[in-house]
Parts: sequence; C-alpha cells; structure tokens
Amino acid sequence: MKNSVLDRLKSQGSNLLAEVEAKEVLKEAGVQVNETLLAESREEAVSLGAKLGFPVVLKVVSRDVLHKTEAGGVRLNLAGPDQVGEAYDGIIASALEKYPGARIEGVSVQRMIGGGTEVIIGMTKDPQFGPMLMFGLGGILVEVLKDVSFRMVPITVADARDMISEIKGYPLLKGFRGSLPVNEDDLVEILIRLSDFIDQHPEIEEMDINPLFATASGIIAADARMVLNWKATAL
Amino acid sequence: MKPERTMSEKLDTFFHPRSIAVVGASGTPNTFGYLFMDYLIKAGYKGMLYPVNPKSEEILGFKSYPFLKDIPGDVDYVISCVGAGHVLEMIHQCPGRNVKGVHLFTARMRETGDQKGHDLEQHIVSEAGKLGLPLLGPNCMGLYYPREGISYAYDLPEKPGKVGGIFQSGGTSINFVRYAGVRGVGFSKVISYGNASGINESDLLEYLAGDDETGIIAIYIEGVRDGRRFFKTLREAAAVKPVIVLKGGKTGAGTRSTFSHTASIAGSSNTWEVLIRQCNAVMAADMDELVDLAVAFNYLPEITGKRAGVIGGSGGKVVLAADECEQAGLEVVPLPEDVRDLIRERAPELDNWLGNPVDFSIMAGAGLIPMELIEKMAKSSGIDILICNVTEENPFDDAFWAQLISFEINEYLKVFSAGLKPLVVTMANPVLGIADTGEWRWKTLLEKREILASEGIASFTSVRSAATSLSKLANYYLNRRMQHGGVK
Repeated sequence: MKNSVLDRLKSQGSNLLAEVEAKEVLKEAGVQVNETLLAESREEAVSLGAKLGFPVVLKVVSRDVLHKTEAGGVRLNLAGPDQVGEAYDGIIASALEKYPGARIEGVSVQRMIGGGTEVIIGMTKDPQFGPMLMFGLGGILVEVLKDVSFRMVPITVADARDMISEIKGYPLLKGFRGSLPVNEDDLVEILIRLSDFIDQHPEIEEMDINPLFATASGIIAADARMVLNWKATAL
Repeated sequence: MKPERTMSEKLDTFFHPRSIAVVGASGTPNTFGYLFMDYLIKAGYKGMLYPVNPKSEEILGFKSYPFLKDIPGDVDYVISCVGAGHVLEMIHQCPGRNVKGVHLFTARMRETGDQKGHDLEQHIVSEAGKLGLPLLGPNCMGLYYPREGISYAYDLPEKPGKVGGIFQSGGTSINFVRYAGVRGVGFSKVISYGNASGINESDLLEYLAGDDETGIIAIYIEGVRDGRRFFKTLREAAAVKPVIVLKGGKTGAGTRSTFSHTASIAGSSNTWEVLIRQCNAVMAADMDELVDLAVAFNYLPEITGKRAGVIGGSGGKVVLAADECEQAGLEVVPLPEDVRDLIRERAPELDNWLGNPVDFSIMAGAGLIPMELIEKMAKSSGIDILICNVTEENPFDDAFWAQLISFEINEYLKVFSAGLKPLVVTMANPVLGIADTGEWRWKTLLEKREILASEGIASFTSVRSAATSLSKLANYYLNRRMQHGGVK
C-alpha cells in the first residue's frame, strides 16, 4: 500500500503528531484541511500570512505544549502584518512562560475560517473492541459538554447518519435560528473515509480533529493531532 | 481432500449426540457426577448413556466403564466431571472413541487466577485443538437441548421452543430458563460456556444465528475472547434474528491516561452500549428485563409502531400506566377519532371524560361496555399495540371477583384471536407472604397466566415491564427494517 506520509513518519519514528503533520495524514485520508504552514521566525510568519491572505490564525508548534489554548499559544483573526508579527512574539513568550524549557519548532500559520459549526471527529482504541470513531460538537467545550457519539470501526453509512443525529446538538447542525444547515452528506462522507482509513492503519492509536468547520458548502479541518503506535497490529 | 468443516458444522454434530459419556460419573446423590447422569435420565435422553468411573460397576442403572477408552463403540459427546488433573488423559482417549466434542464441567483452572490453573487450561485447549476436538468450557454447565432430552438441571421445560441462549454463567442460565419457562417460553438450545477457552461466545453466536430451530437469541456475557469478531458476529446475527444481550460487570472499566480529548471522553462512556446499539442488538438492563424481552420476542410479531392503547384498571393505576408507557418510549396517544365516534354515539356523557389509558371504572352503567371499546381500539388504525391490564384490584367478593377476572381474560383472548392487533396482558405477580400462598385469588391469576401462555399471548407482571419490552422490540424491528431497506 502506498502511504507516503505515514511511511515517512514511521521512518522518522514520530509518535505524537501535532497539527502540521496530523493534517498531512488527514489529507491522505481524504479529509479537506485548512492549509497550514510552519513559520520559524516572526518575519516568516508575516510573509506566510500575506501569502495565504489575511485574516490568519497563528498557533504554537511544539511537542511539549499539550494544551495550546491554555498556554496562550493560539491567536485568532489576525488582520494584517503588524498583528501577525506581534502575535508571533506573544505566542512564543507565553508558551515558554507556561512550559519553561519547551522545545518550540515555530508557529503555524493558516487562514482564518469564518462561519460554520465547529464539530469534532475523534478516534481512540478500546482494549477489547479496537478502534472507535467519535463525532460531536467541537471547540473548546467538548470535554465539558461531552455531546458526542461513538461507533466501532468500520462504520456503515447508516452508522454515520446515526452518529450525527444522535447528539443533543443535532438541531444546531440542521440550521438553528437562521444559520445555514450543515451539509450532512459531506459529514457522512468524511466519517466513512476516516473509518476506512483507520481500519487500514492499525498504527493510528488516537486522533482528534477539532475543530472541524462544517458549513453548507463544505467541511474543513482547522486543527488536528494524532498518536501513532508503530508496534500496533490489527486486533 | 474434504474441506475443513466450519465451527458451526462441528457444533451441530456435537450438539446432536447419539451417545453421551459422563466421565467422573458417581452413584452418590448431589455430586455432579451423579447429577449430570440424572439430569439426562430425567430429561429423557434417548441415546446411549455411558457412566465412566474406574471404581464402579454400575451407576443409576447403567453399566459403568473404568475409562473412556473401555466403552464399546463410539461416544459422540463427553461430559467431564473429573478433577482438573485428569482431563488431559481423558482428552487423549477421545479420538479412539470418535468423540465429536467435550464439555468440561471441570473447573478450577484459569478462573482461579492461579498460574498453574491457567497453564493447565492452555495445555488442555492446545491438545484438544491438535485433535480437532471442540471443547466447551471449562467451568460451565454445558448444553440444555429439550428436543434431544439434554439438560443440565432438574425440571427445566421439556417443551422445546424457539429461544436460544448463550450464557457465560451456568446458574444465570438456569434462572433465565426457569423464569422465562413459567411465562410459557420454550427453548431451542441454551449453552452455558464458562471460560470460553475452546468454543467461545462468537462461535456459539454464529452457530445459533444460523440455527433454524432458534428464532431469538438471549446472551449473558461478562467479557469477550475476541472483541473484533464478536462485533462482526453480533451485527450479522442481529440482522437475521433478535439478539438480546445482558452484560454483566458494566462498571469498573477503569481509566487510563490519554493524549486526545477523544480518548479521555471514551474512557467515561460505555463501550458495550455503543456496540449493542451499533449492531442493533437489544440491551437488557438486568435479569428481569432479559426474561421480559425473551417473552416479548417469543410471542409478538414484528411491531414497528409505538402508539399504545392501554386498557383496564382504574384511577391511579391508569395514571401510572400512562407515565410508565411514556417513560419507556411508547406513545400513549389520545383515543383515535373512529374510537371517539363510537363513544359519542353510545355513551355521549363520557366523550370528554374517557381517554387513553381507558379507565374501566368510569364506564360503569354507560351505554357502552368496556369490551366493545377494546374491539373498536383493536380495529383502529390509530393504535399499534394494546396493553391490557387485568383488574386484580377489583373490590368484589370472591365469586364476583373471579367472574370479572375470567370475563376480562376471555375478552382479551377474543380480541387477540381475532388477530386485529398485537396485544399483551399485564397481571400482578406480587411478592407473597407465606399466608398468601394458599390464597386462591393468586392461584387463579397464575392459572390465567398459563391459559394466556398456551394461547400464545405475552403476559407481563407490570405495565412498566410490558412497555419497556414493547418499546425495545419495536426499536429492533424498526431499525432492522430501515437497514434492510438501505435507507435512513
């Protein structure tokens, strides 16, 4: 099987994939991602912002910073070069303050996505039943509200539809108070693609795609992370 | 060369033995070596029965043999009651007698948590595997198969039926068979499989899913040998017949440290609920519900609607009945227009008073008797199922009390036999005091329950249990229909 990204990561012995690498894997799984580039300096961040088009989002890239938001490592909606430059310095400073001695590779730059409903798609392994896919309302409140559904991999189209309609927040996806409804068929398609990909790749141990911006016209992953285990085999 | 037989084919041969040897048989009552012989005799097993014990000439009237290998002729089925230390020797004698499978009642192996027990079990399984010998257990009661007169307890129902069972615990399986049996349920094959070291839960599920004698499968399970296979097998089985699952040990999954949000949320959710839902199996919350669901699936047709018409009782009983139905997920709909038309025509004074559930007490003296109303409800397209309560609380003296109960039951039978609508009956089955056991009113109710069962009507001991079972049953058939239709 041809799997350039995972093969490369395997040769590098990577286990914890932060945003940039995780998104490369997602692209290979057929999930649309928000193009994300790594800036290793303030100047590079500014020029990448200009290249991608403002407004942009900056996020710290470091294997030592587990909780980016809490570490002040995420800045949204940066409208121009000055704001980007300032944000770059601010992110590095506050990440180091929260995680002294953290190895920081730089800052990721991506276009700010406007609108849409934030959802999460995740995956974890149950010790008895193997990989399970999770769907729910995303964003930073996911661990508090836990409005999610689970299914064993591999899922069917009917399973994917059940996963989506099962959550309490389902009316939000159908269009709530004038907001446009999310394209459910697109969500189903992504769930199926991920299920198939996970089924073929037992080395994927855990995954969070959060947030995934779901709109009427498309669905795009804005952040992701993954855990790989190269010793894992299919159950 | 003949292709290797599938496990289901091997099990089918194993479970239809022409001869059974009880190794470790005994003439001492209430030892298991005695009981397994006696269970078979009492259940009316028709094949050859060979007790095996080097110290006996004869056990329970059957000639006894010192060892398995001494039996003249083939032995299809071996029940092992010997100590763990004697099992290997017995296994090695099996090929000589052309044995089709071994049931190890023998215990004290892996389940002890002891390394020696674990290793011995592994060794036994691997030796049996080399001989291609299906191994049931260890640490289990084996097979209850009324059609073949095979049993692992006294007084289990002799009448066969269509409920099959797969039980990790033998005692639990006996309770299940007894409790569902008194409600009129009959069984195809119930298997207590214990440690699942040879034949495991997925083998048995696959077998019963393909077994023509089994229409419904009840499972009691604590843990799985192969989770991925169980997922696949459960899904396939539930697509062809109802599979009811009672999971033991739901708590204590434990938490582990995690990197992702997904894993941390998953740690606090119940994987078994996900599994059962995804496979469209039916979750039983407890033993009572496992029995109730077996009763429901045993008697009722494919119901996919949840609009309940509830009949009988008065006052608080009727109010509670409505609450319990709604909580269980049924809809207690207002009486449909065609039913209201009859009320308006015959008892206009009740038009704004009588509703669903139907309170019999307010119909006294009206121009419409309750049973006419029930028939109309049975004919109405606005109702999917009827829940008929027996008014055992009626306040009259013994003779009139009994007359009313009989009248109700007969009317329910009449409506049922007209085949207009799926119907269940609820009848109290309270915990009685010793002084009540001679009380003929309770005896009357139990007799009525027998009549209902023999006529093919499901009876429940409360509206809550009836409603819960009906709701789960409708969900099962509804989901199955949608899956088969391919639309969602």
